[in-house]
Amino acid sequence: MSTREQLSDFLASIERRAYKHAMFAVRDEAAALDIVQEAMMKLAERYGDKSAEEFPMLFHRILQNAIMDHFRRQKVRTSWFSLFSSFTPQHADEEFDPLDVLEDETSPSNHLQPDADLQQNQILEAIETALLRLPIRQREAFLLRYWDGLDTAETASAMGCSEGSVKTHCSRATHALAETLKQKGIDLSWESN
Amino acid sequence: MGIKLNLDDIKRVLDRSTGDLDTATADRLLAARRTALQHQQTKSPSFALAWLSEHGIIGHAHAHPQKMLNWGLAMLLALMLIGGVSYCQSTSERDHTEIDIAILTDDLPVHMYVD
Repeated sequence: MSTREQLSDFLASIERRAYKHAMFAVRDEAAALDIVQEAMMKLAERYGDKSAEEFPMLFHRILQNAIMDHFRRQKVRTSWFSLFSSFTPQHADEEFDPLDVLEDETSPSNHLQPDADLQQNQILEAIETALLRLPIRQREAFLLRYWDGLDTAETASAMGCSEGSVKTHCSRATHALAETLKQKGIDLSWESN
Repeated sequence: MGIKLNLDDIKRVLDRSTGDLDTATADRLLAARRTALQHQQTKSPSFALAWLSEHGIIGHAHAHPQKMLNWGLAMLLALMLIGGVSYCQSTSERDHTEIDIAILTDDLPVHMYVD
């Protein structure tokens, strides 16, 4: 059973990344803040008695659900389903998800301003733009695996899909990112430091 | 640009970007965290312990030593009573068993035949 301090430390460590996650998804600062607040509240209210080791997976699951709830409220999924009806399924496996192929075409994030380290900011902008272009599920999988450091099983639990789907999403995401970044003169490799 | 990055580099860049949030956003996140902590769920180990704690029977020994003593004596008396009843029951059962064996082996003592 976790203490208040453990929960506080966890929330403090995750809140900014959670906000970025939400911003990538919903592109609206107010909505992103509401989503993060909702996720924090649900974690504390429903799972505040769990051990601290369970918080990352639980929180990300709650956050992803809150993001999806946002879209439902916005009635975006209704338009996605109508678009989906014109698609011919390209994948025979049962894990096919229309969110996997629909590309996010909204305008890139513009909340970052260049500072003294121009190149670093240019790189950041390129990475964020490339991430924003990813389909939602691919971006979710990529950020959970490679930014939040969740393993495949934890990512699958957070996303509510199978581990195979996570690997597929991550593979497609990294290839798509590499392709987009290459156009900006950035070579992306899969090797760790 | 001619820049080479790997996945760890992307992680570092994204981590760095979280430090660029404006003050208003950071303040709202802090407020959200504090609000959530106020609603943290905490469960008692068991319902019985929660009841005992709520009624000041446990967890407040230093404030109500006499009450603790009274409850301790009551529990001791209850245990003695339960122990006594169990002993009587077991003795009675043993007697019956012995008699049953004696009947089956046709080895009942003489006084059993006396009214």
